[in-house]
Amino acid sequence: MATVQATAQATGARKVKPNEQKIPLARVLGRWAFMWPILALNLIVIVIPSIAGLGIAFTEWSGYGQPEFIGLANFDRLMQDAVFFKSLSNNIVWTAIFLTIPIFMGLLGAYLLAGIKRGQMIFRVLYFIPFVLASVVNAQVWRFLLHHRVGIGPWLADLGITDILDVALFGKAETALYTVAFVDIWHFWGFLVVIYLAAMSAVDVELYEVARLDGASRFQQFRYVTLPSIRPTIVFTLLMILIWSATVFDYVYILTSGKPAHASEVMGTYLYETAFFRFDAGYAGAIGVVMTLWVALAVGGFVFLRRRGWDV
Amino acid sequence: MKHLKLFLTIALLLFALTSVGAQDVTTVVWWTESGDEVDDFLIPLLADAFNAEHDDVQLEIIGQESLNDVNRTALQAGAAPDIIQTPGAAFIAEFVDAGQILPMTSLADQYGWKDKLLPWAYNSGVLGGELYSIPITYESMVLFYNKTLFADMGWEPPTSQAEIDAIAAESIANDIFPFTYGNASWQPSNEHLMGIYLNNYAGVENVYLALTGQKSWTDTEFVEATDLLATQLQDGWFSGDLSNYYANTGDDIRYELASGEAAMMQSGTWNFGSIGQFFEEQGTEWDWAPLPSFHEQAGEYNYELATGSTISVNANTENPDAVGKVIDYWLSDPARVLAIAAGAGFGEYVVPIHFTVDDFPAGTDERVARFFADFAAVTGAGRAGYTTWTFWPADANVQLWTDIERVWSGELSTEDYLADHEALWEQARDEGKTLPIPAR
Amino acid sequence: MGRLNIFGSGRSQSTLPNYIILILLALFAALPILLLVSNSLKSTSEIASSPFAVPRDFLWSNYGEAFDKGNYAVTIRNSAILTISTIAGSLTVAGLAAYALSRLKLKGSNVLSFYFLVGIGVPAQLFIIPLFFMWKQLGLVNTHVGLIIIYTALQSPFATYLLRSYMLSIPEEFVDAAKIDGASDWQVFRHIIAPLTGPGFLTAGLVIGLFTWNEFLFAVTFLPEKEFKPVATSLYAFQGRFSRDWGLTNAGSVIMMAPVLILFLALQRRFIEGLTQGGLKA
Repeated sequence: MATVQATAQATGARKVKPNEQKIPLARVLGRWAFMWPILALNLIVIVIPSIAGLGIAFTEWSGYGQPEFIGLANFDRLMQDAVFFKSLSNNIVWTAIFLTIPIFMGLLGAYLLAGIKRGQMIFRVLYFIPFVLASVVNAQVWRFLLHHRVGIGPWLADLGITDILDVALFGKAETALYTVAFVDIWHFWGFLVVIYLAAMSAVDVELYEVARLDGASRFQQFRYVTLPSIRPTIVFTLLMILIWSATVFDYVYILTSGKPAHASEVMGTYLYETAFFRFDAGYAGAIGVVMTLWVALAVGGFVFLRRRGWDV
Repeated sequence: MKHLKLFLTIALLLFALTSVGAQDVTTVVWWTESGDEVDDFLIPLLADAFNAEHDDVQLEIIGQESLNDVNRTALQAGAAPDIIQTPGAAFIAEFVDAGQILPMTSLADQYGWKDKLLPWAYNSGVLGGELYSIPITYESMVLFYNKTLFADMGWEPPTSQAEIDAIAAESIANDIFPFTYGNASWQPSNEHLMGIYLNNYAGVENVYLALTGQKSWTDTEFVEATDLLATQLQDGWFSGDLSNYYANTGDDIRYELASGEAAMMQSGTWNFGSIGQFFEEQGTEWDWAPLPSFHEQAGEYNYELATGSTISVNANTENPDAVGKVIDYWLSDPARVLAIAAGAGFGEYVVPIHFTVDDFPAGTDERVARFFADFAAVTGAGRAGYTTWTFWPADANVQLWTDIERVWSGELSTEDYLADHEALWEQARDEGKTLPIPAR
Repeated sequence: MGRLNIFGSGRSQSTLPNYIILILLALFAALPILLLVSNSLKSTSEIASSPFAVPRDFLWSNYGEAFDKGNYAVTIRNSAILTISTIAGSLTVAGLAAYALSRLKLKGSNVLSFYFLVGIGVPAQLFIIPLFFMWKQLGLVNTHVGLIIIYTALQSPFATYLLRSYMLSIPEEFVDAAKIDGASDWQVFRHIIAPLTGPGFLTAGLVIGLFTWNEFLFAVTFLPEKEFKPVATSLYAFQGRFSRDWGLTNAGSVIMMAPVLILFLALQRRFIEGLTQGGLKA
């Protein structure tokens, strides 16, 4: 290898560019060979099963034997399934929560971090730690902290603060979903800090100086310099959150499995239960189609906005 | 490029080889729910003993966590063991429908299992005239209580709803939960309670009539039974609040009972095995009493008949005869059965075969012995109730314990819930999917 | 990314409020983890009586017990097999693809790039059921190799993005010179591009390894049997089985998190680089 590199440097001065020459067909085919492994893997693991997944949604199939084509019957059933609508609305609530709270926390953390000299690195690392830990571990942390008989609640209750955390938040229909979302936000927001901080570091410092000379307050600097400059990154994270909110599974499954009475059920857990515990693969497929439509709309909207010339 | 492909292929093959074990011997594989009793008693007393006596067949018992989930996936993947264990007879129906289970009728005839097993237990595994499963444990529902707390408060185990109400009122006044329960570890725990309230409020006769289609689940007795439980849960009789019920694990509830945070627990005799350690930790004592009737129409107290985990033969097994040999070896020795059961604290592996008093190992807990004696006497006298997981068809059973949460949360009325339930029963009858109900 | 200070060094606006809020946020992020570690060294009764205090006796035996009861000897081995193989597989596949996309003028590479973006967005729940039945037919359920193939397919698009951007930054002259000497595309990749992308491979490998070690949905579906379970799903079962034994389950969680945490703290720049690159402004 060393010799090849040496040769490369020695001959680098010559002006001929091989890329401009005509490339023989054999070589073009040879070049595609570099793509085969990834394409084959994606075809087998994602593309074919996804197409099959769309197909299964139009069948009645227990997972054994032959699927039976039943047209749109599964979708008719979805339209009358109160549990499905509960799940769908929980996904929407989830999306609304994640499009606001973590984004706000991420921007706040990143903006404050960008404004300090010492300790930036340490804060960045601390914020990021929950993101690198497994959902099972993080769930354990919060299952303990929010347990109604151990954890923070009873401790607060001893101090006379009752009825806030000394109740089973994961077991209460009104709070189960929000509590799971809280845990997921705790795990996720540090990731946004890091992304936004990276974007902010690319902003031209002179813009801030000009703003300061104009007498802009710190908030005004954020509003008129930082935000517009990192807009593409923000939009991208919005898109990611839109996609992830449709498919959320881990934290809900681990912490509540959709209980109680489906109060924290999301499409991901409902689909899983339908397919793997109720042997109703066709119906589960229909739920999967709805989730895919959601994602397609999000990506489609994103592409549309870009086509319209939005700088996102 | 070629080298790389070759390298990848070899690497993949190596992993494939390490992932698939070699199988040269005729081995019968059985997965059971993992636990210390499996390693300490079931494997030495059953597998090791069997293997020592047989050259041609070897039994391999493997403890699995979340056995039910594992089995479902393994069955779908065609990778299930020879002996398939389910949490109850109701779970087996869907596997039978799917053609995953081999009938054992001829094996049963060959070995005379019909005479070895208790009649109702044998019948609980019969579907459409064929024997598909054998219960490997039987159980019933009883009222556990904190004996230390009861002594302190001067209470006696209740024998009627009025007495329950009195204890509950006094408990609540003293910041004690009348009952403890929860379904965080096992969502179907809902049906433990539903079964008790149906049998003990509406009465076993009425339940029998409904099970056999001579009465509707929408009748008043059942509505009132369902409402009674719902009201108690909503009023915080169980662990203080419905939300705690949903958050409590199996360990949490035994802790609440042992620590005296709760006075009583309506649950199954499978707790015999594990409840003691919680009370030891707390320095308190436990005992049990029969669950009283909740209403006059239910007559004198009863015990619900229940089979717990069942075993079946995998339709894909290569050697059903070997499986038959293993099962018969177990069913044929009451002393062995009880020795294993004792190891599990009589919470598991109490195979429903005919025992005599002499078969119980020396030193059996008095409370446990008292249960088995009373159970035999009371059910022998015809006061036998029906657990939902032993006698309900699969769909109706699942609806019973899932939708009830929506009743408790107020989203679904009791009437609609029971109407749905009745509809699923009618459907099961039409499709011939009901399970055998022992005649009264 | 260096340290930056957007407020400049001129008339300084006070950064004290920044620090106060930042410290509060840091406590919010890190305290729960610290508590997990601290409580992993207590008995359950000590946790119940003083959940937030420093451990009284430092009960290290929780770790031995959790290690045995949680079957970690097996599950760590399983996770290591899955993680290392997935890293190797993904980097190979993605390295080749990134080379083709960055250096070889392929027609349709834009289409491919778009597919990789959308492909990442396809909900796993859409294809997991058919994939499960395909894998069942192929005998790949309950095998490590089956899950490694899935992970490799799932991780390689992102790794491709990352490696592609590294490769694009390699000066064209190196390649040109070699080509004049008659090197084939493969030789150029093998002897020039791949070695120069070394840091990129490390970064991508870390990110892939992190996701594989922590992954739950595919693991719980495709490896239900105890002997094949990786740490994530086995820890989930373990937590359920010993739900009230907080000392034990906390120790179990710490065992799972320790390798990730140590690796992250040691190589945090690369981790963060890996996760923040790859088209965040797509």
